[in-house]
Amino acid sequence: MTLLLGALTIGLILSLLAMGVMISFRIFSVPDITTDGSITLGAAVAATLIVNGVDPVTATLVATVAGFVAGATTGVLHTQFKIDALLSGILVMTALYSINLRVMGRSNIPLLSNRTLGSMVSDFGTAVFGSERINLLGWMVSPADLALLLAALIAAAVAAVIVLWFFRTEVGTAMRATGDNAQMVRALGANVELYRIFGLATANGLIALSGALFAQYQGFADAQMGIGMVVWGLASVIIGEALTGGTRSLGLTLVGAIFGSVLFRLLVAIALRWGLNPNDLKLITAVFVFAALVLPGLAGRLRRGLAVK
Amino acid sequence: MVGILRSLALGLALIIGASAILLFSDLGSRVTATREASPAEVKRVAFLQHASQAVLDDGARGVLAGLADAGFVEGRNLKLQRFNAQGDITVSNAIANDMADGNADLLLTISTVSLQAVANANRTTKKNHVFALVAAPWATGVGISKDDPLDHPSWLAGYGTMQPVERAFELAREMNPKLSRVGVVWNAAESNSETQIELARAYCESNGIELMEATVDASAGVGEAAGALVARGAEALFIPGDVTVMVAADSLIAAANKAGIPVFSVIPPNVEKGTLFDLGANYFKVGRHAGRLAGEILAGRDPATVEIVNYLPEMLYINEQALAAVAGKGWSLPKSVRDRAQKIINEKGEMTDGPAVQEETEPTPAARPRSKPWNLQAVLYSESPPAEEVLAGLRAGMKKWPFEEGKDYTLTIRNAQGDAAALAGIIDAVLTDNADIVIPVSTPSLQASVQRVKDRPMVFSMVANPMSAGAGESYENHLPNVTGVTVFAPAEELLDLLKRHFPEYKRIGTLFCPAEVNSVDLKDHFVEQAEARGIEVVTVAANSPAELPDAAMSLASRDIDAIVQISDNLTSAGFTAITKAARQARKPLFSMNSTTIDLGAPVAFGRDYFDTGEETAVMLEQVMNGEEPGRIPFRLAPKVIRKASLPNAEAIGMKLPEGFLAEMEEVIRQ
Repeated sequence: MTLLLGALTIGLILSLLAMGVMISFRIFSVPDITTDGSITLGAAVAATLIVNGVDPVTATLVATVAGFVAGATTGVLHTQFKIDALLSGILVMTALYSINLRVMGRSNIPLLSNRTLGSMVSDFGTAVFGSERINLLGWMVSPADLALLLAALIAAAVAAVIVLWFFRTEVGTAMRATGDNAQMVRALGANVELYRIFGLATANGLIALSGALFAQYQGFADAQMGIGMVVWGLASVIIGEALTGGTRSLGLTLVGAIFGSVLFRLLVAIALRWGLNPNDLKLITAVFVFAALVLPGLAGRLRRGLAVK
Repeated sequence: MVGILRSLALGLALIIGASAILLFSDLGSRVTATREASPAEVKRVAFLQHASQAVLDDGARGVLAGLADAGFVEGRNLKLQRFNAQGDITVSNAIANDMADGNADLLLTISTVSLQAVANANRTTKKNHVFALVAAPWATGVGISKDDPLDHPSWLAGYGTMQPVERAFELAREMNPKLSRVGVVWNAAESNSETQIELARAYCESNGIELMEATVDASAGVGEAAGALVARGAEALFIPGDVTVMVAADSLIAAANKAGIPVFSVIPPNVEKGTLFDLGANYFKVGRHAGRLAGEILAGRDPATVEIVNYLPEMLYINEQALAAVAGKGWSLPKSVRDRAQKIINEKGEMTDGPAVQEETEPTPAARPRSKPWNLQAVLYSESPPAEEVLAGLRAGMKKWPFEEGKDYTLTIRNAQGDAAALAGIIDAVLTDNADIVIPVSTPSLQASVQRVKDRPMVFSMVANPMSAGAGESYENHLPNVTGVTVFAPAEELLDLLKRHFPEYKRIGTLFCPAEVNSVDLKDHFVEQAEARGIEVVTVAANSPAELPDAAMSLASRDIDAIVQISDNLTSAGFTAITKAARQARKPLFSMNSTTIDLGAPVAFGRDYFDTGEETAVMLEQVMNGEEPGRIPFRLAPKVIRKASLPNAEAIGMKLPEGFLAEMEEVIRQ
């Protein structure tokens, strides 16, 4: 049960990352590698501020802004200096590695004894449900874990609603149109470059927020925590799309990204729980993801096949 | 709306399905969890200790061991709430009220003050209450009769542990049958000391000893009072369990020494300060006795049926050095007395185990059979030769246990494959699997575990600096559930060796990994130590395996006399790149990682990882035997490997002087 709660919580926290990747990858068609750097940036900024006595909420907001700036940098490199989007992302990600080390002053900041959003939520959980373990369907779970899960769920839901609202405003709609057909939008007299920059900035802001929350959940920020994150983000988005049947609806795609992220973590957790040979962990993860991607389509084809007969 | 729901149905179904699979895999823990957690079987005990002080700590350890003897193990069928008033009476009272009002099945206290506070708070709630480490229970005013051991409040039980004053005098007589005048300094304001003096007076009167008393009101007067007693002709001085006098024991002993007479006490270990012997209580055993009683009461025994008697497992410390000083005055050490000693300070002034020490430690909780095997789970961060050596050592160390794999314990190994994000999930998996002891191997594993694992012991291994991983403040002062083996590289030793045999080295270089906290730590330490020895260090950062060859080449092409590579995860796995660069640039190469000889290092000088694993097994055994991890200091892996390989040296073109080779433990000639 602890494992399930942990997997769901991490999945929900990282769903913010998945939403960020979805914005850059699906709306602007840019696989934005800045992600690997900006998630760590969010964690690093938040952790450094918290250790230096800044209130965790402010620290998290500042971390989000830092990610926003990182994303904007990628956008500027891409649009103003005409550097390929993929390469712009790689450049900023590479630079962020050093910046993150600079921000933290070392490779790793533990937050164990500091007040973080994580510890605040745990304390709140303890205050509301008491410090005793709660019997949930027969498993004993700690109220702190439960509170963390709920908080992560709320965070993901709030972020999804805000993103959805934003992309339905006039500017947001224009931004989506930029991703679909930049030439048309330019012909209509809108500033395509600015939209691109702003879109990448928003995406990385969300990703940094995810990093800040993740660091506070796990109790430390580490210079290496971002490595490979963009891949998981992309996997979550694509799994999510497979799950929601390749819809064009923005809301569904967002929910799909959250689902994808959660499901992905669950699959990893199952692989862990079965205690398979540790060396095979990543292979098994890959097989699970493959299954998750292929099965929906297969099911659909089967259904259609049966209908024809 | 329906359309949306239909689109989401598949995703939801899959998530629910995956959760169900996960929970299904977890079914085992549910069944046991409900069984163990049902209120009928888990007993709640609230335990108050007045202060953190050696005697009380011993007692507390004993209480836990006693509860375990009676079958109550924390985390399984015992929920223990521990309180410590830190010597503050107000706090003690607040805690006492809390304990009495709470939902505990049993209250436990050690020391007189705690007994009084809790007994007072518990007057109306009348919860079962077991006490220990109280000198005279009848004198505490909680309603215990001195004359009838069964006459006490029906909810209150425990043991008195009066200092063995009479026995101490008897012992003094055995060592000097002609002893007839004993001096004692005490503070009349201390009630505990008054009780003891009464006992001493009674004994002396009936045995023909003259007891010469001098009272003081402050520690400052003790030396003077002792001097006066000596002048009046005392043949020995006695120290009772009197706090005022104990604080100034040194001045009292000094006065006695000047006159050439011995001192004896009832509070060990004053022998270290120069008393002839201390005959006191073994507080661990006292606590254990009370812990067993608490277990019996938890299992249903009525406290009213318990006789409150004096329980005194004796502990004898003897100082042979002090004996030698007074041997001419009729004092001797009969073998019958010596055989009873747990600790003896020999004539050279060293503390050694006495003949009786075996008897004291004999019934270890180790022998306690467990209903199910220990579930041990090791968490690795990545594959590397050192990690594999540690595991091999761990397995070898486990072979030496009295436990049998499969029957008494199981070992599961998990590996994050270098993925920091997977680490948190692995720790969750370990917890869900109901691991009894978590074994984080390497710094990142420890760091991730420290955050998530709070309710069960952890024994880490292969961690350079556990403090920077958040495991504690120092080797001794650390998290209560964590202990383990550290592998801080022997930088000083290697530098000294270089200084002796390669005095021409003025500038040396090393690679380090900025992303590894252990690597940065070690690099800083290394640079500092080298500079203290007049050697300049050039450092080059490498962040990933892909950067390693370039970084190594860049380092080797600098103006340095030799590469002295510190040990971290990155360079351990990719050491070959450094070998290659050193060979190309023909720079002498030394490695602080004992596994790198196979990877081409001419000289490897580092902690023995196999040995580290074995040491980890030893610490695990300690924890499995019931020792609290918080009380076991972190241990530096004891063995340093010094290996040289002549073929590797030749490939690089470096010459190893015979004097240097002579200091190596192993030299591979071809």
